[in-house]
Amino acid sequence: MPTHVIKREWKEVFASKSLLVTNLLAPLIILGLAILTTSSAQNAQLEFILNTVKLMNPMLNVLDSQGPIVIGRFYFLVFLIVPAMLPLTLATSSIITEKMTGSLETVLVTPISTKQFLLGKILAFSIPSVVVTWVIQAIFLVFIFTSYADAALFFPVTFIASMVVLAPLLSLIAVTLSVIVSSRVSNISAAQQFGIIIVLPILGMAISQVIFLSMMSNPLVYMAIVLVCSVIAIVTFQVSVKLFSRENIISNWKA
Amino acid sequence: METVIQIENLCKSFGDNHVLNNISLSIPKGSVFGLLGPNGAGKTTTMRIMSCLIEPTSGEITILGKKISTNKDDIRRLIGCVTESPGIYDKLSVWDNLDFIAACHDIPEPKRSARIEELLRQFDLWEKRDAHASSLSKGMKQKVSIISALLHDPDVLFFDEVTANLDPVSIRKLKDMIRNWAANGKTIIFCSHVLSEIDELCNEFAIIRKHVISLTTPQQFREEWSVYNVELELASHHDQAERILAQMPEVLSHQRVDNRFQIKIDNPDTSNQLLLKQLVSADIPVTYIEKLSVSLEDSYLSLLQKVQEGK
Repeated sequence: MPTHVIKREWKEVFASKSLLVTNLLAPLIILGLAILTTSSAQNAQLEFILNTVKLMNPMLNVLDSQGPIVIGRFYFLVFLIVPAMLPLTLATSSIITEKMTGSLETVLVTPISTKQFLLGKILAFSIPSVVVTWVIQAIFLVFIFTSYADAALFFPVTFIASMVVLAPLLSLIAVTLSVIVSSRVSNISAAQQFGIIIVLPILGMAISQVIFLSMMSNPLVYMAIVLVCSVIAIVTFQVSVKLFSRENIISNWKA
Repeated sequence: METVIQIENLCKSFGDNHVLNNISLSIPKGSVFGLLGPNGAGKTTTMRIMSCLIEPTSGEITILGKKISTNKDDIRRLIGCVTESPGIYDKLSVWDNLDFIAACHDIPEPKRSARIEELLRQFDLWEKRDAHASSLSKGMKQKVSIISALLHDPDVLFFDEVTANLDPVSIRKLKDMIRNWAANGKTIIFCSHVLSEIDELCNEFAIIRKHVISLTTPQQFREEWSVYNVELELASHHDQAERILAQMPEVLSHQRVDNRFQIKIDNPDTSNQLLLKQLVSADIPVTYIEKLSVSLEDSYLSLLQKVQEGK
């Protein structure tokens, strides 16, 4: 485990207080929005959503009074955007910044392996965003289970567990893609633009599929989603190691 | 003497740009070996290949008996490298920067902390250990970069423009350290545009310009490539002296400036006596004859001019 790489990345992030605050603000806003929307949802306004859910998932026999919980379930899925989105800016600029400051050369002349170096970077950006996601998921679950009697029907253990496991998987995929982008471009603005262009649509598609499938399906589907995401995360990491060419990174870059 | 670095037929191309063409060098243990050349000559590329940062297009380098093509990880443990620009993490403290690099070298605690402290004190940076790297001067950053290369006590050191940004006192101290390391068996490859440093430190140096133009010692190089190495002043009989100079096989070239002659003479230590004897026997009044101190810079420029004319 490349703990020294993780520790170094964290120290750099913690050195920038404004970066920390802006990164924590987004998930808090999403959580606040989720609680506010769920608790203020009026059944009359939910007819369309309830009908859609009934159509998608006949297993969920949704009553009109259960409308806010369905909205809550939807938001619980939306939280999956957080672990993917939160580390994006830092991850996309991570390698290119090191190239430009010259610190990458200092590291690459040491015996650290490409796998260790990349894994350290990926975990350093993923772990905090996953922890933040788990915290907001936990807070939201407390809110749902204390506010609504029928919560267990829409939040079965298999569903919650799947969403909890999906958070790190989606984060790992997003961060790995961002690191690949960062190692292939020649300046920071290109890294961030490419990151948004490549990472967000792929993740947006993945997350929308997760939301869609889990709204309509049974526990087996959740597990299948987790399995598919695990495979994608492993493959993406292997690809990132293959694509990390020390020679290209050192030789072909412009400040 | 034991060879530490053996470079054989090294070639490197970036697309159609052929940066290195068939470089072969042999660098002995305990030497300070200089790499010289004009901008774009391939010095940094050679350093980067030796530091396992980039791959050669063809050819092989062996460092301490290990081939670079198959033993990169082993070689990285044996070498320390200071690149052109100090590559440190600005948002981290000096200590954290060094602690991270030491961890990359798998130096365990408490040896790691002890080594960092030893080097920080040696380079007069102990008081700055908790300072953010961004607050350091360029010279201090350069020192941190040098310490990074020394943390694992490597046998071979690659220094690319290592004295850049250092103040004169620090440069003097570093030069003493380099001499000490070499005396203790470390091998140092020293790349610089400051020719006086090459002259002062290097036992041997190579001038490269895609290939090796010259491989020699500073002393030999000065003698071989100096434009003029003797100055002669005469009170009169200048035309007669010019005829004598033209006839002497030891005199390779000469020019007259007023009543003085600047002469390029083969082996000035012995040939000066011969020249003086010839002039005195012809009754030419010699005011003075002096061996010129030739700088490495003059000789280097003379060589490059010849190379360009040859082109």
